[in-house]
Amino acid sequence: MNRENWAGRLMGWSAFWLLLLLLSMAASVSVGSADIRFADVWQVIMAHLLGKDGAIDAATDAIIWQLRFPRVLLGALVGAALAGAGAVFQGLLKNPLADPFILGVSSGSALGAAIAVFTGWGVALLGGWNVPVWAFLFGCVALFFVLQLSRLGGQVRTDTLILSGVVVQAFFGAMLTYVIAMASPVEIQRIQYWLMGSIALREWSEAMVMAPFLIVGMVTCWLMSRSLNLFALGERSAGHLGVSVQQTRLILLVASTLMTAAAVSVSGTIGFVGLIIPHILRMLTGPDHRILLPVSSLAGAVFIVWADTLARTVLDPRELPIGVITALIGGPFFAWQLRRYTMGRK
Amino acid sequence: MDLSIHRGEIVGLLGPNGSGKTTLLRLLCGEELPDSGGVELEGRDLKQWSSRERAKKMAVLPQEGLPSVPFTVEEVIMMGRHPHQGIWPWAGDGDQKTVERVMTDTQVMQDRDRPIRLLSGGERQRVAIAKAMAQEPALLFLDEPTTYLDIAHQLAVLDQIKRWQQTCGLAVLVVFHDLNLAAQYCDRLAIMKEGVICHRGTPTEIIEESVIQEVYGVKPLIIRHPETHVPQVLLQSGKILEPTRTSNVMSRHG
Repeated sequence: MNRENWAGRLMGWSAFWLLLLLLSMAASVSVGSADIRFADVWQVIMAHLLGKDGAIDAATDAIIWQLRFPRVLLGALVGAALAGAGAVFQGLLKNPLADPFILGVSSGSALGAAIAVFTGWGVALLGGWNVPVWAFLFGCVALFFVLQLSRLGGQVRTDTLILSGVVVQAFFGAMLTYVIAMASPVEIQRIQYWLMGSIALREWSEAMVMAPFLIVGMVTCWLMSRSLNLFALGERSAGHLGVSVQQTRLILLVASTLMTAAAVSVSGTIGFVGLIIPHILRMLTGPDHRILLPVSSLAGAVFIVWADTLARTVLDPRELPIGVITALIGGPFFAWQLRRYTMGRK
Repeated sequence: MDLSIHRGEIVGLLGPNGSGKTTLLRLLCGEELPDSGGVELEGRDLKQWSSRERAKKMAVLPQEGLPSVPFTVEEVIMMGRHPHQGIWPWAGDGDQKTVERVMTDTQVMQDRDRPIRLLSGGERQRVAIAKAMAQEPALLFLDEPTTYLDIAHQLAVLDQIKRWQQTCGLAVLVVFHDLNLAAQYCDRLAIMKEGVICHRGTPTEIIEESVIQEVYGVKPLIIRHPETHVPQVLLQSGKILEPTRTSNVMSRHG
């Protein structure tokens, strides 16, 4: 594809998903126990962004700006990070079933985040960045184990990759439960929010901490997206076309783990987003990662915003962990993909 | 052991299974490093070339051809431009012309928007060559490019390589299994046995009863091609000699 062509398609798809994201976020903010009009949502948000005093009463303003909007925004960031990371993992491992959750990276990151939260180690040094940094380090460890376990004769095979992911996920999940159980008897009741993910009770500061990680990871991956395209031809062929294979792969793996860790450190392990979204988007936009990565992120954001809206309204006033929603959609999708994949190989 | 390839010639690399052809090819294209000795490209040690600089000079067509990818023909040919473009996503203005020209030359224009995974083996090999042409190398390595193809596609692929080599003064190294095709298309042949090049020369010198018998352990019948007069090998059943190989097999099992 020539330059105008892919850039044009990127613009078109991005514009479409961005618009959908903005509408979804506004709709999500207006849904909840206190009914808020769609128009008020816009008014409050615009007022805050432009630094003007809104004509809305203080209570509505607080619900929108202090409670709901940070949560919706955080959901969008989490979705963008997980879907972007999933797209990179799939492209790099040439495997349609790769995803941060299935690879165990999310579980590793969750353990790291839990250790940071409950022990407070490192806070003096890293301050507000402490949790994502721990999540990142443990995510890298988990990824390293999975790749080592699944590497047979220098080649990563799909079935062993998924099995390795299951093993690592189970192990880190158990460690996570143990760490939380040790920490306090109160916290153990919240364990499912770590294991199944939740973005309840979040504040502005968390979105602010997460955003830089996401941006650095995403921009890095996008800048290397053309090299990532060449991995589809196989690592040897990519090397023959001038890609420094080892170096590129390492950078992309680290960057996508960084995105995953950023998401997990604020939301726990939300599964299947990175599996479903890039897959559907690939059908829409084609396999070119220059388009696929950014557009997957936007679509992932839309998906999580809606999944979270469901999670907090289905059993109102109680809340479901958001991972319940994504797994209910993602589980069957994964089964379908696995079946298609194994059928295709025979 | 010593092998050099010059501009404007096609060199064929022959030898039985396990004689080290593929390893030699991997050393030459920089995928593996030699334990001793060295590989030079344009007089400079291959290790000193960055992978990008190297890819501007040499293209490699692996035996298995293109994998089943969802990218279109045009997108894959554009990938051949990668070493010339820089790694950033937006680089590559003006490469469209090269890609259009290559698609015309290789007659894949009508398939430009088809995904690779819908193409047959022969069509894929043609696109793989187009991708290598878009790379505009000075040196081309091919690892048994005709293995999975029927005879019409075998000739089509080799004719295409020959045309390209003649118009651009390319240096080509082809690993061949088929002695007859090697004799028809190559200017020089090198034949390997047990990890070393044991004979080299023109097709007439190499496609010779004594050489074939020594290297492959097969007693062939050599005749002249009635049109082109290059030597051609006829195989005869029941004419395997090679006592050492049989004993090898025996000892492995025993």
